Amino acid sequence: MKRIILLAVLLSMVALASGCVQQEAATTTTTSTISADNLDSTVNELVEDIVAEDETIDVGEIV
Amino acid sequence: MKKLFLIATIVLLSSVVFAELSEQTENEVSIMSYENGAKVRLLQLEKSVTRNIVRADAIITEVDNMDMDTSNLSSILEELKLVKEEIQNVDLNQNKEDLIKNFVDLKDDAIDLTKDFREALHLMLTTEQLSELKIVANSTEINQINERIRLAVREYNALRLESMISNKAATNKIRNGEMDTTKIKSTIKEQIRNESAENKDAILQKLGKMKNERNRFVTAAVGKAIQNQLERKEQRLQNRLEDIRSAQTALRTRIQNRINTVSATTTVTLRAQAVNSAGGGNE
Repeated sequence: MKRIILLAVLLSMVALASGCVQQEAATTTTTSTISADNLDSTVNELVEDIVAEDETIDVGEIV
Repeated sequence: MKKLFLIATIVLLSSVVFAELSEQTENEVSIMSYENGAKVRLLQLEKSVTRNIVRADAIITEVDNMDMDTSNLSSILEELKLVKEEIQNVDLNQNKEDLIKNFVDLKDDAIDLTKDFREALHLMLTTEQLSELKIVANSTEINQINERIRLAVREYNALRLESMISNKAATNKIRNGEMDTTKIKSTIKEQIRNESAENKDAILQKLGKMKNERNRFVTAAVGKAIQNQLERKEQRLQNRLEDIRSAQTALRTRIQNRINTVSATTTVTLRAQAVNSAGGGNE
């Protein structure tokens, strides 16, 4: 009986550990995806500050 | 009457409290937080105002030839010229928040005066006459400003690229005018995309900080630019009035001096003639 309980405890520990590893892997993947998305959106926003040589300021037409 | 006054005051106050910049102007001032950004925007504004001055000048000549009174149009044009002078005299070394205030105020004046000119012209001419007006498309002055804008934009873009990535060849190309905006943007994106994961983290830290600082600064500067806009406008108009008075006084003094000189010369000449006549009579 004791052996069965010990085995059950061991199995649950293994299952728990495996779950943690999977969780960790999932977290890492999410973090790196967020970082990549963040980098893309940050770069996209900042490059919009590049100015075209023919850009003009609109103050309206005289006629 | 009191109620009307109260309502008018509330409307006026609410328009001041809820004053905001147009989305376009907000986008324009956003680059003024960076080095050379203010120079680019002020040159672009100077170009737009110059373009309208050149056109207004030609239109006044045409309207004048139709034997119409152009004094109102001329006075608007003169103020537009003062705005241009003020744009040219903006001190680029002052702090960026003040530069943004200057830009917002002078752009606002340019828009108001352009609108005033257009409305005055539309009251004077028929639709047919308006359509027959010759619109000046270009001038030497505009071409010269275009050249200054080109150089300022290239320098600005080179500095922007340098602040994000290290690529000497690309910055040289930008400064030589060999890269357009699309190419500059794709070069920056591609180079960052090809960095190692470790470098990307460092770049994200740097660019994230840059983006946050820019957004914080722009929000604060725009907030300050829309505060006391009416008071600043009143002050600018007072200053212009004072400048005109000083210029008129100087002009009056100059003409008076010329009158004095001419008068003195005339007196001397008349005396000489009188002496000559008397001498001639004696002979």
